Amino acid sequence: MKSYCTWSTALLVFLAVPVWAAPLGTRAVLDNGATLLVAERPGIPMVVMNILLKTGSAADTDAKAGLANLTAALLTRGTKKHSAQTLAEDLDFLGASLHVDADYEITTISLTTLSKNLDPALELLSEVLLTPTFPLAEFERTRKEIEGGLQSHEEEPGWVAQKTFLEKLYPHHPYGRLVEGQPATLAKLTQADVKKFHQTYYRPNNAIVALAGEISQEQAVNLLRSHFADWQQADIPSVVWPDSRKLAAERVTLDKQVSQANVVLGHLGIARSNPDYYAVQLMNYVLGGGGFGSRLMDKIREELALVYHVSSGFTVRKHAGPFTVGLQTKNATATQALDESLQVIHHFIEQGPTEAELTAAKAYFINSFPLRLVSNRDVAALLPVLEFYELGLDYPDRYADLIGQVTLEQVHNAAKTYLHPDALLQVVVADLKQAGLDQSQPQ
Amino acid sequence: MTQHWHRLVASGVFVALLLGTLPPGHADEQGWKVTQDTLANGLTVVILEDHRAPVVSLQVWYKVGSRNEQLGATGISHLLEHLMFRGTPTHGEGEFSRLVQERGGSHNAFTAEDDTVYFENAAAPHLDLLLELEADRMANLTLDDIGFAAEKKIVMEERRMRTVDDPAAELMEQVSAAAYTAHPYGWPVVGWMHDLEVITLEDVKKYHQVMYAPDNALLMIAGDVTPDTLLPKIKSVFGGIPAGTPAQEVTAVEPPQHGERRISLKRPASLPIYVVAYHVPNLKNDDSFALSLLAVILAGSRSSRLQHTLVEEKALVLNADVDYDRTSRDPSLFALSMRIAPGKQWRDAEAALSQEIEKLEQQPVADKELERAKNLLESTLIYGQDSLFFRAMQLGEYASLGDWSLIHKVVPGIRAVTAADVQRVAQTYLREENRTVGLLIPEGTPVRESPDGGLGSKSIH
Repeated sequence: MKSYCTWSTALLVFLAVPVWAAPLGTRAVLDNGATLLVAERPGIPMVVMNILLKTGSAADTDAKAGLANLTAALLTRGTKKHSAQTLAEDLDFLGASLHVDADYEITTISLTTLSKNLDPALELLSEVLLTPTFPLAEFERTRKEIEGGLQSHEEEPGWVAQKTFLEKLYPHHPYGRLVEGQPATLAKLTQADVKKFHQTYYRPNNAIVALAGEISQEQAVNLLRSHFADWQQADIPSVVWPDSRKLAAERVTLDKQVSQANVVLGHLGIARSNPDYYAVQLMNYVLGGGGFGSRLMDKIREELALVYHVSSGFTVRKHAGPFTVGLQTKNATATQALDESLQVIHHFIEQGPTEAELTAAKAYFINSFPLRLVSNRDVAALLPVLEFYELGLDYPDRYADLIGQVTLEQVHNAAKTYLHPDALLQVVVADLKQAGLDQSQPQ
Repeated sequence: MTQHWHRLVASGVFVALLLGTLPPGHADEQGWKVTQDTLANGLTVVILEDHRAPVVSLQVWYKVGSRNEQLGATGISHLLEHLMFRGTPTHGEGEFSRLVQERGGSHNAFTAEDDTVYFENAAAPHLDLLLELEADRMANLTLDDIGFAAEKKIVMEERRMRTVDDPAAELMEQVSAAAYTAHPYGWPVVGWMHDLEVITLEDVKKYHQVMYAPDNALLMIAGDVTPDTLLPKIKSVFGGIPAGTPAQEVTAVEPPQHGERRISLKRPASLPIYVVAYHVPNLKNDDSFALSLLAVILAGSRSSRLQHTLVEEKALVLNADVDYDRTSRDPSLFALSMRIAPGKQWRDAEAALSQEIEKLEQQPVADKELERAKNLLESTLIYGQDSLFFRAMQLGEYASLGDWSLIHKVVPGIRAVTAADVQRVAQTYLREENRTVGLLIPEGTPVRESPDGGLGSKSIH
């Protein structure tokens, strides 16, 4: 019942190491093609390991959407030596956690273990990665569970708005599909599809292996050699990316018995590799990414008291992710909140940020960065991302300069170049009659 | 259930266990280097030294939450929490956030049944500023009509978002309302909508004056600090704030329950949800350790009984979750909740759940199963050391209850639990006459289609 922002935001920016003593970790490429990143951090008797596979739901087809996710979900549901239940029992007995999550262009396998149990935990992880059996009964049950999860999300207005927004923004494009797929596409998946997906993509030359905690690079290499000796490389098929949608204004309304309208506005954003990335980040912070003090929050929440939360964001990936503004407000004030948000964006593009706003934004990014890298979990999460986007392990050292050198003019230009309030896709999930958005009424 | 449900909506049992139920394993060798002092004005100061990184986590715990409220004015604690960000004469509106954020710090606050907590995490050199900001709003908060009117509306939007349009959350609210007949844990932390409408600025001013006095607060500081130099600084910053008049004690006690209560909630929803909540003791009773383990064994892990049987083998439910907080100030609920799988009947899920509970009552759990649950809790505690914020939270929970060093009793308490204890607490508390059952009955379709049969869509210019 906090009053501020979201917990995820708050938790991201916790604790600080203001000075960098050394690179974040070490890097090596193993014989089997896997990239190994290790951050040795004594202090707590634990190790966090993240294996990032450079494949996710983008490798699915429209017809068989959900395959990458189903494969990830089934990875821990049985191996040559363990049933799903005995595997869960063994991991719990070690006090270890093991999760596999598919996203659009990556799949992450995360292991957290006490350092004293690293060896047996890695043995289980190796089984899961190399010898999963994808039992038919588990395949059928898990598929139903995913379908049920999709069905239960349908009652969440925010989820419906987001899903609809992405479908409309990215037709026939990986970012427009749910990672989970849909009931109709899940129905087409077979056990053979899952086995083939695993065989094709769960390969060392498609993997970044990162460890942080009470472990050295030498230990890590030895452990990987002993536990993953049978992990063989293979050719990884490349994903063909279709073109994204052209900019065009459109409003989509969905009628739902809710007390609040859920609004998502947006259009195509930028890829992580865009040279204007840092200017865009700073620009968005001032507009609506910075929580309290941002233009949207100040106007829509603090001044007009229309919302509990409003924010804007550029989701960056290998390809251009979406720019979105999201808010919830009682049905009756839906159009007011929407119009006011548009005005904020228009004014922001005209004026650009003030010198003071940019200074505050830069200070936040530069000073909060080290605070986000204090825990083993933080470091184990960042390491593979640095590799995936080819940012280098010295990125933390370069970060202050990357942010610091952006000029006021560049940020203003970023607003003019990357914000298109006249070409917004607007999705409104609301009680349309109460919101005055009934299709039968003239607008 | 009562406490953490509000603050950590989606984090599940592990975070609840981490924060509330179970402080660190190996308490002493894990380095709980704690200094405690009480200022002349009654402010309790607890300092945890942790020099692994040059950072600090500061938390101010006010011993006030929805538990201290009255019917007709529920939600006032949380509303005041919002108003605490509206500024003071020295630091005008928005300045607090600006000062913290431009130093790279993060800050937030949450209100629960028993406490209202404000926190900042930042690099250690900024601690002086954080202390001054917190002392300033403790003593000099600006409470005016404009800010009050705005925050009321914002909180109502928050209630709409978190509860009114979230049938799962509304079901929990209704289960609590039915489970408690005489205790304030029965009403929601965010408050009933009508109460939010009628609370006045005067009410809030009085509430702040009484409840936010230094003698009703704790200052928790964890991180790269030295108590010898920090304590004098704290005294100079907070020492001048006068002590208050003691807040009225909460005397309510929930009487024993002598028969099952059943409630239902009909809302537009996708799938039914089944909740069952039992009255159980808190840490004042040693049974709370066995109850924490019972929670893990039943539904608190991947290999738990409900996960294995109801979710996987019988596929009657999509998930099975448990919520139990042994650090609530007064006894609270042990709650199990399950989302019924498509095409399955809630009655079958209820019957299967009853079978599992009967099994626990009739047969002791296997030694290995109990050891697994203990290992899981203890390792979770060690992982908790990874975050300074969580360390301070753990300590704050116990300090707020009167003694931070209660944290040292937890690991021995957990280790001492036997299979017979688990069986006994199941028999004692998971009884039909001690339970409140809640059922979400989906009514209507989640999304109504537009007249043309598809999504309403049009081009706009």
